[in-house]
Amino acid sequence: MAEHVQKEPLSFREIFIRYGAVIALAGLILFNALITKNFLSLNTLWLVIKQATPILFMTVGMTFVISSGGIDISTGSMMAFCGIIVSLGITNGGNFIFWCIVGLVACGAIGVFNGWLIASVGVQPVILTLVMQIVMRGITVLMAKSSVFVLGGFPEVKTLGLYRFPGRVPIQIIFFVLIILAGVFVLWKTLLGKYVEAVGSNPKAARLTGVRTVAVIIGVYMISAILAGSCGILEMCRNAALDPNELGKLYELDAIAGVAVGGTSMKGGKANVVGSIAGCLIMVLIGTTVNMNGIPFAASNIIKAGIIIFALAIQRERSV
Amino acid sequence: MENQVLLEMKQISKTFPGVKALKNVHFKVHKGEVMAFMGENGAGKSTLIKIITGYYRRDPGEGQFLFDGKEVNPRNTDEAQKLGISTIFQELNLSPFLSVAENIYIGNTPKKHGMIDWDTMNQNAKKALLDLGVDIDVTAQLSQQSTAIQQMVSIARALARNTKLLIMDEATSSLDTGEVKVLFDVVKTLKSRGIATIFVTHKMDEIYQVCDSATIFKDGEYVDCLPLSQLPKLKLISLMIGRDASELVNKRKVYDPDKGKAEIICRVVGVQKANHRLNGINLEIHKGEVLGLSGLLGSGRTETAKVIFGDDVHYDGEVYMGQTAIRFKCPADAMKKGLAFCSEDRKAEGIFPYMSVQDNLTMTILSKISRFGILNKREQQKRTLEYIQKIAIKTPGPSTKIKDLSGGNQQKVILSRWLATHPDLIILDEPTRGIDVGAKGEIEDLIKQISDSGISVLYISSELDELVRECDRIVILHNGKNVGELRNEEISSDAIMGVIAHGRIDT
Ligand SMILES: Nc1ncnc2c1ncn2[C@@H]1O[C@H](COP(=O)(O)OP(=O)(O)OP(=O)(O)O)[C@@H](O)[C@H]1O
Ligand SMILES: [Mg+2]
Repeated sequence: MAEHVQKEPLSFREIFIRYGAVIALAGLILFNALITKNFLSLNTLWLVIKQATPILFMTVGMTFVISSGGIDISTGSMMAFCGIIVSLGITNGGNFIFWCIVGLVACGAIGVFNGWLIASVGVQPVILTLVMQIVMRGITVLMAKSSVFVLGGFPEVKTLGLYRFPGRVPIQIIFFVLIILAGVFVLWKTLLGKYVEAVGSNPKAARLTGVRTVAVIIGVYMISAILAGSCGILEMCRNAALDPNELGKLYELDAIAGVAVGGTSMKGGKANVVGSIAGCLIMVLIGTTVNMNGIPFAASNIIKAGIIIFALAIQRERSV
Repeated sequence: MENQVLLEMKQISKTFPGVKALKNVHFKVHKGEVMAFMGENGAGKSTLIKIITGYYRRDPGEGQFLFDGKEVNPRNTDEAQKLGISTIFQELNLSPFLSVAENIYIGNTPKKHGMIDWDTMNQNAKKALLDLGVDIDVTAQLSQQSTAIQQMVSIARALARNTKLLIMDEATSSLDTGEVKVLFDVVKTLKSRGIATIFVTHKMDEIYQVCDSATIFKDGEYVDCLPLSQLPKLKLISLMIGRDASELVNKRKVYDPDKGKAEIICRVVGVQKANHRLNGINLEIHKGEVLGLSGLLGSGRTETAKVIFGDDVHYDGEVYMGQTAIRFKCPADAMKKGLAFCSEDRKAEGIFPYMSVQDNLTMTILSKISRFGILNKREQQKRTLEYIQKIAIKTPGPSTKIKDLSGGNQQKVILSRWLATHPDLIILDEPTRGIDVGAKGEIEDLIKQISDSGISVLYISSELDELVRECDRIVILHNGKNVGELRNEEISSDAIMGVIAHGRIDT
């Protein structure tokens, strides 16, 4: 049979689900180019990259979790938790890099714990990570003794948050490129990426085909926690301050929205990391658009909500 | 009444991206007729049924869909249901956590003063099921009932909605012989009430038990429609596969007595479970032999397989691989020791629906063909194409999503994923479920080939002729215990039935 190797054409709906976020992103950029004054300039690009980079880390992590069939709403608190560890470390005279590693390892350990509870004990991911969101926030505030840390005096924080290369290129661009490459590589090219999709698609079948499902799920929540921690460090440096009550609040919603808009199935089993990246940029760009046009901030949430509902409506499955 | 046409379809076509699933097919069903749709895997039977039930829309064109004398065009399953067309799928679309009665009357509940009239509903449900010969507590949760009972519930549900045409797409594939007989009695009762049935199965003998006529499809085209009285089995198969079928039917197993003397590669000793699903299973599997496991549904065949494969770790007793007792923690451990297990439940435990054929087929060997955790897509594709050719998997390509393959072709992909691991012992649980006669023959040949090359096979099947044709030895289970064993020339359907019946008397 010769026709075996032929590539089958995609239906319109499939194209839309697969590349919808990229198309929408292009549309949003075009819209801004026409409407928003001063939009088409390199400065806008740098601004978007600077703002998007931290949340992009979380969104990539969320893509892993959601395509494995779970969800992680503790990531916003995880940001602050990592931030407080680093802040306490450096304000007590510690080495910045060292304390960043300590923070990320701590986040990773909590992620492993989350994954273990979900995979081995069978706790519902939504409930567990909701509880963790509250607990981690509480721990963070306790550790901070409720005070806000101003970190502008630390050279590493300033560099990581505010340094610009010649041509006003923000330092964040390095991390922006790195996380995109890493996310795409792992989900497209590695065994782990396939296993994550398999577990999300049919956990029983995955187990029976020799996938170590418990390990995969633990890995996924660990990745999510570490990327959320990284997001926290980057965001803290960008603000040059840490407010333990506020840092990362509701970030998980933007991340989830980015993933949903990107075309990753909320039921698991289908990861679309390029879509997630586009989805994340859409979320940030909506904020920018609203800002630059002087529309009240609250309006951006309504626009975001509309886009999410639209994305989910397209993804819905026909029921039998 | 017999001669009144109930459903007539003319020039129906259906195109999926890259596949023409139906090409101008036509057929007629009369009132009270029991019609079989026959054809190989991927012939288009399920697609046609999904068009009749409004799940798919046919290609626009000159085609016609006449039901009860009127031209109709159901746009979804609800509209088809209102017309009087009901389907019983193999994977039942019931609500497991509602009661039996609620399932029958869901969306159609008797009301009193605007509230659900529970008493009437439960009484009606009880009566409706009694009509079908089923006497159960209708207030019990549906999920506590067996598949057979659940199927009866979905039939009762269809009848509660004034159904004129009942469609069963491979509805019998997870029932045992006794349950199938009960189902057929129901079909005959319905027939006397003028209700027509369309019936799809790959078990040849079944259609001769209930059907009046058969419409045959091949590669999306209509082949013929004949009353079964003019359609002996051999002719039917020939029409289905499009060539002479005699060599397919007249096969006999050649026994190799040495196989029973070869070294023992796996031993199960006194395996029991606290829930009494297994009460002392003993097996010895020799190198290169095909050992059949027979018994009724619930006799412990699948449970035994899952214990051996490390999917079920809560048991007492011992499993030996070679000389050493071993307790696998999970299937991945068992695979490392050269085991493979093809589950009977394709949908729940087999396929990754939205992943490609290629990913589905190579999931078991991904870690082997990857280096440093990085996928080798070229190797994945090579292995996939190898099996697509070897056992004729009908798919547009390796990157097609497996959910878009016909049921039988999905099964072939799942089977291939295990053959690709080159195991020492492969456990096949109902491996030919949903596979057409031609492909069954090919798979039987394949099993013979692998066992001759020294791989042992533990073969679980509810179809006795299959066991008879393939096994060197058969162990019969009943209530989670061995009740008998047959080897080589002793094996025959009657002998197996005899042991099963005897086992039933004993316990
Ligand atoms: N949703 C779909 N998208 C693309 N192709 C499809 C889809 N559904 C079915 N097909 C293709 O249409 C053809 C007919 O499939 P169908 O499921 O009707 O076969 P079948 O006769 O029921 O086979 P089986 O006996 O194996 O169940 C197959 O080639 C299948 O790959
Ligand atoms: Mg079918």
